[in-house]
Amino acid sequence: MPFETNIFINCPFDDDYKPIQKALIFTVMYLGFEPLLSTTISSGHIRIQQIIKHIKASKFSIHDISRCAAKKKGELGRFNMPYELGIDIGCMQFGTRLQKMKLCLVLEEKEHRYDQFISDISGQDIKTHQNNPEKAIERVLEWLDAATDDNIPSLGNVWNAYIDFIGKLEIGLKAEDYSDGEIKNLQHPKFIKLAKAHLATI
Amino acid sequence: MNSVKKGTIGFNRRVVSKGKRSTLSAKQQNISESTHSLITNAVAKRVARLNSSEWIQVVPRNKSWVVRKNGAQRAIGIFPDKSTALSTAKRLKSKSALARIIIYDVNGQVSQILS
Repeated sequence: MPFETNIFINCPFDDDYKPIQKALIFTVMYLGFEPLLSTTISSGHIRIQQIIKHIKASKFSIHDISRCAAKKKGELGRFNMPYELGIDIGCMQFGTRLQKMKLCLVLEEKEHRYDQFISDISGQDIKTHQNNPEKAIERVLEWLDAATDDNIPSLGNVWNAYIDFIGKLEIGLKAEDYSDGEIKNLQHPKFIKLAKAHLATI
Repeated sequence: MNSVKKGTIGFNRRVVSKGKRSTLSAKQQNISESTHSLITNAVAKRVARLNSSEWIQVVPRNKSWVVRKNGAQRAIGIFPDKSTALSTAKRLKSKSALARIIIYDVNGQVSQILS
């Protein structure tokens, strides 16, 4: 996995975030990048070590800090995503010459909401997706268009390709006796495997 | 005490909760393992090779509803509401060899499949 084509995706794994997660993963794969996300291999596995490994190995990173707020009154906020963003920025600052070339996209749900909980991030280029997978795809395309010399396709092209894949996944997995729940809650390693096989056919 | 019940899918699984080992019931184990079952490369390839050219999509986009054949570059039509889009898709399906209508939600996920 070459440094130049790896994209570390730092995002929530909640079920209600899944549509955005899938859209981000598919988009970077459609553009020829390799998505790297943390996985829990076993209970003894130290997750942060894997995240650090992914951060070191990726020229590009997408950090979605839209799910940091507590969901209910009395709940605490969730800081894994800003924590991992901090490690990535640290890697850019203190890493090797290659790592100093790293580029990151920070996604949020609404403009300037982050000022309330992570104000030191102000000044970074933070883009909003309004909890909409198509907007999230658009933000990634804009970012990669500016950050690379690649010929980035239009939003309509990527969105249609994504919709085609999601439809094929639903019908294909049902034919393989997967339940609605299993398809809806498909974990990202499986989603990546299916997307890779699909993209090899188009 | 530390025994593990054998699930219906043929292997044992331990979980640790509140400092002691507990046992998953066969039903729980079956559901859990089913959810996390591995998608083999063979399944991924079979899904990837599906011929999806005869499917028609009804997708909400930019406050309109788009009717489009799977894999097509252009939409067949853009409609102000879901019911008009769906009746167009149904008409197309009945006139041609299109096998399925896939209806999506605003998040780009499948909400319904009409065969």
